[in-house]
Amino acid sequence: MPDIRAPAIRPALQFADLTQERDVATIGIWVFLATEMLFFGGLLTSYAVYRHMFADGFTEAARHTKLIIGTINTAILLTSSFAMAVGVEAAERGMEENRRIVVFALTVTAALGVAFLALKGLEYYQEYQEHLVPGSGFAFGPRYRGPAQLFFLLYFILTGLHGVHVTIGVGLVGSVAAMTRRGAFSTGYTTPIMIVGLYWHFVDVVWIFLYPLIYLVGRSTQ
Amino acid sequence: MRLPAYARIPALSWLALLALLTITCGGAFLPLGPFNLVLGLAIATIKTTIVLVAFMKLLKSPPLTWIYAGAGLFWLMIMLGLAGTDYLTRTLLSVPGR
Amino acid sequence: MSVATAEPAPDAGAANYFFAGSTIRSWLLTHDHKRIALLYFMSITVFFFIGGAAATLIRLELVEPAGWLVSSDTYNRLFTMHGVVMVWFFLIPAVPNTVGNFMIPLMLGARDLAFPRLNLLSWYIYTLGGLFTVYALLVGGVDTGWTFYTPFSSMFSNSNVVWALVGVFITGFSSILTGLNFIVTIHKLRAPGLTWYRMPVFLWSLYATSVILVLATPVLAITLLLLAIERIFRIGIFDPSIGGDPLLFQHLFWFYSHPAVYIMILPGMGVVSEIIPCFARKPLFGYKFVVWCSMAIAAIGFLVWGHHMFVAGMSMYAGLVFSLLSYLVSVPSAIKVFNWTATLHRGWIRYDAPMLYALGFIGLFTTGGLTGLFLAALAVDVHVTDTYFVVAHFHYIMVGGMVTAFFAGLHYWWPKISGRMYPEYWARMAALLIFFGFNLTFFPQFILGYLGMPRRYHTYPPEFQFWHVLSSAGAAVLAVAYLMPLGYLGWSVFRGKPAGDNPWRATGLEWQTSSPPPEHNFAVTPTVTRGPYEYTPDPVPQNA
Repeated sequence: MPDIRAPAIRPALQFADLTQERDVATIGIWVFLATEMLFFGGLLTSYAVYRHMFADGFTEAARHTKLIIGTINTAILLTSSFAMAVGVEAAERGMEENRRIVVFALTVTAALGVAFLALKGLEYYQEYQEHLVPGSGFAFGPRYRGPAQLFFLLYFILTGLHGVHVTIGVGLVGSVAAMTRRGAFSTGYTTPIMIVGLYWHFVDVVWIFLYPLIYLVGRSTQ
Repeated sequence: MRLPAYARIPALSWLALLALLTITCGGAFLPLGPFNLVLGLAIATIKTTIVLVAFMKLLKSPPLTWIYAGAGLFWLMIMLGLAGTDYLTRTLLSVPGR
Repeated sequence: MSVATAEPAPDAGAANYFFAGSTIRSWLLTHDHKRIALLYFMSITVFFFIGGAAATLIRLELVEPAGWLVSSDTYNRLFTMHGVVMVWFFLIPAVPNTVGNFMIPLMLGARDLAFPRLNLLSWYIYTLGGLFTVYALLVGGVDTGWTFYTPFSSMFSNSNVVWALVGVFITGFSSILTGLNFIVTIHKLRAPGLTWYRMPVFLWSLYATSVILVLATPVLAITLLLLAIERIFRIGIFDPSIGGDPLLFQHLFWFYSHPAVYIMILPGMGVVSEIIPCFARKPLFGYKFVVWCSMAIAAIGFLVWGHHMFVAGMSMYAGLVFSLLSYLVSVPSAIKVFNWTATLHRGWIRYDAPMLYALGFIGLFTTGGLTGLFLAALAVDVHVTDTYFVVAHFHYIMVGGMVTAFFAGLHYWWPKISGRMYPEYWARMAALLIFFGFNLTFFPQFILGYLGMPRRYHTYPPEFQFWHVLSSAGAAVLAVAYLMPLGYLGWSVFRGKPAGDNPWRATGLEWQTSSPPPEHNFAVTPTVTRGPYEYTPDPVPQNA
């Protein structure tokens, strides 16, 4: 990739050139994503442990998740990653000629993120109405009441934390879109767009794994 | 319709991801017993690989990023594996006196 | 390998980093890693004395077999605060965020860390977490122990658990950002000619520490979050009434907290690896072994957490596995001790204060480490777990080892940081007093534990009193000994002899710039042509 140094953009003092600065940013964000893997990993370990201990209970509980909303949300996130990838690619190939495409792509990404959150909110509301929120109001058959609460605790915490990450992502993507519109970037300097893109794709990957673990359990023997 | 260059790979990847989503959702309704879980995770892994390579461009990034991406995954396996030595064997070995 | 070969630094006109801007704003909004190091130094000193105050009250209470100074409930809060403050607010940031922040760019020949603003953010996050924890202390403290075991912490404790959890949770992000910063900096900002095998061991140690910081701390974060959720919503995944397993908390907690002890000790080992060659005037013996053992400790350290849970109800099969792995993790540490010793052999040894501390480290760390092997043996652990044997074991490593190493580094690099020499006589006295006071405090605790004195109890059978009194006497000596450096180091800032660039005639890059360093570290980026420990026949700097 050519290192075209835009006249107005110079690397920070501790760097020799923009390429080094970009490499450093790339490595930095991947190290950060590794920490996120371990962060969600603690929850996934808890899920694995309890699914092993209460296989039947988890299967029964998971049948009450909203497959249609979950699947649509998965499609929404995958599409948002598509839009994000287009935005990053367009920016790196030629920011000056593609600026409007980039802004459009990033805006679509953020909008899809908002749509995801809206559907998630609707889903939470439905689950609340069906008394699937763990606690004294939890309504389930006596046999699996305990494990079902464990399942739904993990469901709300996993998707809730994921939702927090999506929210932060929407904010980041929106900011970067606004900065692009203002002309803060050039073909030689698209690093923030790339970084935010990596974060967004990672949030998508987390959901890719959550989807089968939450929504696809016990569907074959419903 | 001829897609602009910056949209080609993302579009192809997106179609593949949607296809995999359909397969994984449909596959959940097949009576495969414990293999439902295996299938679901396997497809999730394939989708993740597509996102990593096509969207996140991991292979075109500095090799150090591969190491840290791999490290995150590897360390997660350590957590699952060694916690497993407890949870998978609790009923296996009897404790004297019980 | 990428290098930072930027043009010569802009000349700010100031004599050095300390005087480049004298407003409070210039300190609180600084991007300079050296100033951030001093901000951290100030914070960890405050926390050291808070944790030390708790320890003082604990040791006072334990002089009498029946509770005389505090109630049982208060005693629980004292040892909890002592642990929480000392582990997260002193030991973990001590070397990495003070010495590390200051020295890493200097040792690399760089202008600053890779992400200077993240570095400042780290300090603010640490301070915010500290404020929440102090708040928890002020509104009555926490009584769960620093380990927050469920179900007591989640269901039964009546103390301010959530405030403490918030404080530690927030501070964890400071650790993660620091580790991230160090990893990227060490990879990408080395001066021309500074290959990996020419780096000082201190940098390798901090690199290994940083790997642990980024991979382990997130698990602590999620664990504490899960506990906080259970406490706030009165239902959670550790709740036995719905099938939850309290032991799962321990698995998740120790997955972080065991590697955390290596976060605490590896930087200290790095400091000692710098001091021994300098004061023995000999290259470090077995450089490659030492660096790869540091990496091995970091890696294997993640595989042993179950040894904290041998009697907790874990499967015996898991106990076997963790016991075996725990023996394995001791090997790289032992190799390092052999290498330091071999470095001393036929050296030309000078007993300046840094060297006294470093030698003390080797002895005390080895003792603590060997007693770890006792604990790793399943059958022995059944008898000594949760007794003072464990308390003595980890204090030998953390205090005898790590705190001693921190003081070693503080004295070694004090001339570079402040531009002044500390008074050598008082420093040696303090070092000897610390060594004596430490052993008097903690060796009796091995005996107490072996005799059966449980940890976290403040009342005990009268036959244990003799050992407790010895231990508390030692603690009084330690208290005086730890106050001494505060006195003479502070004095030296105003009246100490000017140190010059390289008072120890050491070979590292940090000694090839002025003391204190200029704002941007080096007028011209140095080019490295040599390894880090070329002390024979005469010391040769790395950029000669």
